[in-house]
Amino acid sequence: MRTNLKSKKLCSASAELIGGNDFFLGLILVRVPVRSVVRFKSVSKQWCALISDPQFRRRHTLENPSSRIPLGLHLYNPADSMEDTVYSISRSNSEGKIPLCLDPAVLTESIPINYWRDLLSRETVMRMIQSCNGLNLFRFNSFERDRKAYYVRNLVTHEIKSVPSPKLDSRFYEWIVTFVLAFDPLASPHYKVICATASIARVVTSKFMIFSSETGRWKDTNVTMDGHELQYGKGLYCHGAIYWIVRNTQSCYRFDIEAKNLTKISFPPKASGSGFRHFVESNGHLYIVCVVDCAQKNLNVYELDEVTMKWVIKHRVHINHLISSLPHDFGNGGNLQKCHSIHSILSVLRGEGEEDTALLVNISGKVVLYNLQSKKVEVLLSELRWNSVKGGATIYLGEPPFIPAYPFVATLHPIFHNEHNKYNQQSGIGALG
Amino acid sequence: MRSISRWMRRILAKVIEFCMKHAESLDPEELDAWDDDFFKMDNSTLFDIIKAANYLDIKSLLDLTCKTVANMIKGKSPEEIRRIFNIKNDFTPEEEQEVRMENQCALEHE
Repeated sequence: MRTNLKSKKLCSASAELIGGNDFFLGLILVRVPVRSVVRFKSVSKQWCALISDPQFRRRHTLENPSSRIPLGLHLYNPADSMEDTVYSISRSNSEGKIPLCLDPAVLTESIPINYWRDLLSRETVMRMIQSCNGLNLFRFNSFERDRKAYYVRNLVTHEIKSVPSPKLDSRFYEWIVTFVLAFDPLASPHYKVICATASIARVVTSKFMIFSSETGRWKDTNVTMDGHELQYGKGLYCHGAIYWIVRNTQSCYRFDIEAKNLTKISFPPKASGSGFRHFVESNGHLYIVCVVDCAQKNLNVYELDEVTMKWVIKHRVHINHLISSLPHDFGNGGNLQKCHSIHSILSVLRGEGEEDTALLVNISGKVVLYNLQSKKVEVLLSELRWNSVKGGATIYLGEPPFIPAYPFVATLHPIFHNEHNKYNQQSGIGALG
Repeated sequence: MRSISRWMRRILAKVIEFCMKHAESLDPEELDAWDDDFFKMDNSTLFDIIKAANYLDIKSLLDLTCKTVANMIKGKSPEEIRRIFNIKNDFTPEEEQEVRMENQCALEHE
């Protein structure tokens, strides 16, 4: 009898010991998905301290493969670049809804009262311009040219850090052509930002610079290119390099961050012209989506083979098949005849493996996830209402610019920077500059 | 010689059972299935095995047991967690509210 009571007490003593011990807790919590871990901060002060610790958070990101898989998408109205409302679209198997990042993070710097600012109230809002493995790059647009400010944010932990703007040479009217975040937690706890600026000496030339969060400084590279076409391109980070796609010139550039060189990659031939639809990175893979026929009934999904540096066709999508896979109660009063085309390709989302690659599309205002392998369809959002200045719900058609859609990856990874001790970081509102 | 308590004997038996199975079988599928069955145990045994595996430095057992506990606690409310681990809530109601508010936007749960 006594032994039994004793063993009962000892057993719960194990639970207590483990629950109060950072070492064991760390081993367990590092395997718990982000959403639950964040909630466990409320358990006790010790748990809160452990979960907030930057070293734990980094370990959590490294050990959790789900910290690299997109849970959904943040989307701006592609037809209206003036509108700053962010829409969030979650995969239904993700844990809960992804955060809306609409709060324009309050900036601590005082912004001078400006006639233009009052007129264009969007000046106070940051706009997401890139998502990269869990960190997001935002741009705060100011009407005054030299006050475009860039911020790196983790939307799960609410951390924000400004990226200092490189010094621009006003003699040659130097301006920022492209700004791309490079962050890969598996490669380094720090992030880099690659910036190209252009100036008019005799001809327009773009030059490349790299910012490292480890040093907190910009460094010039010797890389230059003619013209400034990257200004019209979309840049994405993947495995140590930045890739730009420029729609108008059908060009694909690759900037190797370590080697500091710029190369050109041939564009998939069928993706040229008005067929081009999207350029996306997901879980370490780069995709181009394009429509290959005039009737817009066939899509090709290309993936970049990083060994051969060639775009390889991976999936062919027949729109009719997609439409026919839609549930009967899809919409238009059951009249599927009206949904004869996809209105916009929102993204390609890749999960753990190839079989988990899906196309996210907007069909008549409904967002649908189409698994490219199983060909199964899932309706994610039944109503995407764009409030357009043009009035009424705008259905976006025709040749798109780059769709402002950003995959959301949930990670606890801290935004390390050099200003403090490496393992000490500011949370909440960061100091500017 | 100090006698090993019945409880300790039980835990060690489990550890040995695990080690022997993983030593004799190489088929990952078979091991996965066996592991699933093996870890169907009560919480207190799980925690005891964590301690034992750590002490005996058996990494694979430690990893798997921690993963099992992680899967068991995910999705639970803070109150349920406190019950499992016998943790005292040392937040004042205001502090707890603050922490909850801070993390509110981050992945609201259904």
